[in-house]
Amino acid sequence: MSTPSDTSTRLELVSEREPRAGIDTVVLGMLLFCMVEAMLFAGLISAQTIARSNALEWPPPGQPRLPVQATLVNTLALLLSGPILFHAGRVFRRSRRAALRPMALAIGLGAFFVIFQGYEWIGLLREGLTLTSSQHGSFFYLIVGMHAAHALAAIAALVWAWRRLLDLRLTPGAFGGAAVFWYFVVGLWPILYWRVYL
Amino acid sequence: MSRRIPGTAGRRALVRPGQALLALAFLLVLLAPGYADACSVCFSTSEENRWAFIGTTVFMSILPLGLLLGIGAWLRRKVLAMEQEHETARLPVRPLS
Repeated sequence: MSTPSDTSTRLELVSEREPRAGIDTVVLGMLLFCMVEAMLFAGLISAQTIARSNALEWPPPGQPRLPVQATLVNTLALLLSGPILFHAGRVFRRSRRAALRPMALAIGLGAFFVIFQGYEWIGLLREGLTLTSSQHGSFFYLIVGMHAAHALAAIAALVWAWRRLLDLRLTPGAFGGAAVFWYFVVGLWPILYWRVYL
Repeated sequence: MSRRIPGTAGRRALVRPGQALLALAFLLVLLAPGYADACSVCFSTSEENRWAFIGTTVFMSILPLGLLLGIGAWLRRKVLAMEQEHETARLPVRPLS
């Protein structure tokens, strides 16, 4: 409420909106979580690098070679999901319903990545690469498995967000949090591919 | 201003004794791991292994700092955008009297 002033002209603020460009706590929390997880993966990659440099031959003799070419296709599918989800985020700001399709496509590509990896693991296990067969196997299943666990969790977060979007109950913060987690999974994979597969 | 050291016959000492001792202590700290063979990063039979240790040490040291700086920069950008939006929203438009 305005009070009388002794000045001749008083000005009233008629347009005092809430700022829109706030810091979303969900996004910030997810960024901090991803930071911690990045350090976990950094530790794993460092350990693998040291073990690899100590080995006379890598992969060790008698151990199957990793499917580099097939995983490259899988990598491209995962990488493609990143820009698609980013596009979904841009659409989401304009029209929420329109974001459903690109979001579903990103989830589908993520699911394809995880299923393909499971299929790949079955083949490698049959060829004799197990968690205890060599250091190579241990690091492969530990690092790639840890990433797959993150990918599954991120897909679950995206599916949860998609279902909320379907009911038009998804907030920008919740969308941002799930998206940041997925970007982390997508951004991390090329580094893991380079260190583990090549 | 440097003090005269007895026995230097009027010449100005380039380094004070305290500074020289400090430099000596610093050099000892730097060289001691070499004599003690206490640095796993510096000594390895394999050159590749040595570089792997150095590389991962640098990587593990820089990564958290980079991540913190990244989040700090993102927060700063957000706060600046928020302040700017707040300023533009506070436009006085209607005189009452």
